[in-house]
Amino acid sequence: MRFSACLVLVGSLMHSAYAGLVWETTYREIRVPANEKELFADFGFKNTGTAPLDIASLETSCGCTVAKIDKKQIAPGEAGAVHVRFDIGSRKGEQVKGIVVKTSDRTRQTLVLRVLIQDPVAFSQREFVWSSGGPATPKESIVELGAGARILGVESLNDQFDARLEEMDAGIRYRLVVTPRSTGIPVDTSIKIQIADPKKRSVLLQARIEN
Amino acid sequence: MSWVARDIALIAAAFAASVVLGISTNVLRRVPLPMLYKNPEARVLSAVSPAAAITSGEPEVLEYKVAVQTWKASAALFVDARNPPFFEEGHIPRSINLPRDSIVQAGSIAALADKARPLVVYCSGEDCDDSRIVAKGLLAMGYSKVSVYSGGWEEWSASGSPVEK
Repeated sequence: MRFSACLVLVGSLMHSAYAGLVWETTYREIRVPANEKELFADFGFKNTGTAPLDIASLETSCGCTVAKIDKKQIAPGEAGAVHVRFDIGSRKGEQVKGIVVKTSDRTRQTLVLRVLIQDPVAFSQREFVWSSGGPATPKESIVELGAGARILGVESLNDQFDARLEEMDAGIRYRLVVTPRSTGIPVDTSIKIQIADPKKRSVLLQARIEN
Repeated sequence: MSWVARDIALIAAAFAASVVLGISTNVLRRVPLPMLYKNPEARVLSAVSPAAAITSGEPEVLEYKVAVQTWKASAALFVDARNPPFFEEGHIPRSINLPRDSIVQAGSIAALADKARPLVVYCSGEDCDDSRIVAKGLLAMGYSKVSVYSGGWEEWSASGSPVEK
């Protein structure tokens, strides 16, 4: 018992000596109106270790996202932030961008910025789930289009599903019906809806058959 | 000389000194900052060829089904234009990593030795412009069959298609 307690104590002390960067959050979700052109977000951190740390690299998942820090070396006890600029441009809907931060203590942290840009296209359901071996009944999602938006096409990215659109209110409201051909094999895929509003883009809805 | 003229001369001298200091500091940087801003596409194209902006055409865009058929048939080499940490987290099997800012190294990659080999470039998703920029850069470098898979990693991984880590 005493030995275990000693191990925990030694482990804790070692951890505090090499704790490195502690992040305020590694995930940020921000909602923005459609007319915004860019967005700024900070990911705060503190060096809780006893040694200075260098930010070895900052890399983003997309050229539309730029990450910067005020200074490269972070002294023990010092706080700072990764400043992220996301170019919204004509993007709409959900955007998930990653920033990988590597430090001189050989740790790597992925920061996630989820941006929800006001979308002129709304879905009542974004996920269709069936049980493996259960009935292959159709499931639906009501699609509502805002001003200037139109649907160009719908397709399943896996042949095990059939996806079709039924018009409810021409140019405004549609019913998206998704039907599995069978529910025998577990599958995880997406239904792709191509939209023009006015720029052509796609929205992915999840469809899966799970055990 | 009036005091106004003297103050203006002093401000101008201080401004000139700060410009000289800024330029000198920049020259001493390991990678100097460009003197004139260029957008990422112009930067990539001028890096691969000074005349690229004029000679480089637009690559063909592939939808998911064509991309997956091409991949299944091994009819093209897939090129991932994302930064290395994201490639390491997962990518389309048998693809190679060629980030936008490393495009000048394409010639030293063995898989890209044959400029007639069909290439399909992708990045994180439809909203990412890096695949198009890299594809245009490759076209400018003389690769003749370059297309872009617009849905990219986001669509590929969401489709349930095979992935490699």
